[in-house]
Amino acid sequence: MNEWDEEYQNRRYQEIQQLIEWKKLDEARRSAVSLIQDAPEDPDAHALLAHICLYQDQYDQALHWASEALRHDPENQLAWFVRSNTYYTMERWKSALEAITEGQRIDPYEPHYFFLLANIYNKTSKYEEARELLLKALELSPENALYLANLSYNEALVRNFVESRLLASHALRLEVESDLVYLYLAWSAERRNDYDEYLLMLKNAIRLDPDDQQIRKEYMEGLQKTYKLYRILLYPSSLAKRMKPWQVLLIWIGLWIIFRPLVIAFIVLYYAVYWITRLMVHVRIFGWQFRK
Amino acid sequence: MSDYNDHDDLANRRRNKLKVLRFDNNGKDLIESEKPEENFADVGGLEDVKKKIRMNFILPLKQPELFAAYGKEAGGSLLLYGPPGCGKTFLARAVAGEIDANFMHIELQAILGMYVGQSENNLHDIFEKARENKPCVIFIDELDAMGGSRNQMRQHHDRILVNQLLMELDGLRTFNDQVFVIGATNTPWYLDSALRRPGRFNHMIFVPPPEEAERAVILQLKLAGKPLSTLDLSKISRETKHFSGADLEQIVKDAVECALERTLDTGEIQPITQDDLKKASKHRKATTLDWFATAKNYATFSDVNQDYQIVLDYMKQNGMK
Repeated sequence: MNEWDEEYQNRRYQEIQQLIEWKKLDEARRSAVSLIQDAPEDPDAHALLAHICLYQDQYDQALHWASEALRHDPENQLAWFVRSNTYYTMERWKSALEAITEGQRIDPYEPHYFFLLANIYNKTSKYEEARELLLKALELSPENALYLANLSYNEALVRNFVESRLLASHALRLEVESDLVYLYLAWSAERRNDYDEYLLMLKNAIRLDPDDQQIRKEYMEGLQKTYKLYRILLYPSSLAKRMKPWQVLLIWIGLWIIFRPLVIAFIVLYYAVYWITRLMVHVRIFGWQFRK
Repeated sequence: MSDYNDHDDLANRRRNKLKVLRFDNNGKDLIESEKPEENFADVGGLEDVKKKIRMNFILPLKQPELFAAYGKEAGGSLLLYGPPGCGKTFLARAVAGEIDANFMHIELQAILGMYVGQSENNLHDIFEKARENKPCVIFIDELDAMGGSRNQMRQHHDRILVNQLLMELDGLRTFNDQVFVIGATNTPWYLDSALRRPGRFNHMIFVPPPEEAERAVILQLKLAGKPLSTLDLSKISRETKHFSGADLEQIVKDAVECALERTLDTGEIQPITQDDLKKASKHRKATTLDWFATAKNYATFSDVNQDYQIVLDYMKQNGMK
């Protein structure tokens, strides 16, 4: 490739990156397809298309184009990055772990892999391991507000509330326009039982990206939790989250044997309050309109 | 004085001298192209939209003394937003056809050029060119690309361009009473809020999908010149609620394909039938629905200034959930 061709090609890549940043994903996708048509052997073009498909939530397509990129270049960093993130988003944890391991082998200084791994560990209550991973991510990218927000959440999970608050304010000093940062900070505040802060963070998140289904769901749940009675009824379930499954099962059996009528009354009350508060939140937001 | 719909001699003579400036295919240089021939008469429906454009753009230019009496100057900027394929660009071209002004079209490719490697396409030059050629309409298609939220921009030079756009818009107010800016976007929620302050894009106009009668007209226009059997287009337009102009064009294309297939099978020219159109419309979904779903989320959860209440009202009136 001569110098002019190389410059032209680089410009096309930059244009696609710019379109992605503007969230003009259809246009970016068309440009990436045309790039592949002009350079069918170029692994970077395939990986870029895979990345766009991931942004468009087209996971099968993302995996397909990442595989195509890896067929041309088995060590393509972007392709492994996309593959890891796609499996993670699809909640295919085993495949995600395999892809992350390979991605880290090729690109050991990519902090996002540590972030993904930390999230996987947090989901399985391995908080200490998750914390270590987030600290590694922050070593590589110390000013990353998302990692700080996640660490704040992690500290809240292990009930280290003072540290969690400090990390949350540090994250907010660095970034105030990221819906994901606000989402993690909301979870962190909830874990600290700081419901005002929790709702404030969710409000900020939804203001920035109301089109994100997860954020909408969290926000509606957040509004439900502003009702004290609902929060009281939720307390046993938040206690249960901190226990091991066998402990929860044992306590349930014990309660069922000793206080059967009370357990039934609690379940009935819980569901009644859940649906009433849900209806109240719905009416507050949408009025008496019900969408599918 | 001529009415704004009349085409008197003077208007025609001035019209002949009009220029349309746009970027070349590489998005590199401004070139002259022929003037769009559309005018408001070609825009079916959208009466409220046309009325607002007349009030803000056309009449102040035609009757400056009347508007001056009320302290209103010609000029200003208008933001058209709505689902894709519903005629925002067509409407802007129609404005150019309707008023005696030059027309400068800045497309996505040109904006992209300003970001990537082509600093010579300075936004200031475009506005200067408009001032030289006044009266002039600058139409910025995909405005969100140029005027996206500065807070969400990673690159410093991206922010510079938004700032420059703001400066130029403020300059319009101060130095130039005959330069009009029309912006169009499918995603107004990504725009920097500073762009919507008074004197900038303070007139936000929602361009909805075509109504039933307009859909019939669009279908008729798209089918013109093709072999047709007896068609009941009003029926098809009833069945294509919420379809955009671009969706209807696609339906016609699908129907043409069906007729072509039959033609190839039989060896004789086969006309497009009602059934072809019906089948094509059944296989397509209105692409505007996705836009409305997103707009509803922004209107419900993120609309501090109630900018999108009109979208919610439109959805309610048209039975959209």
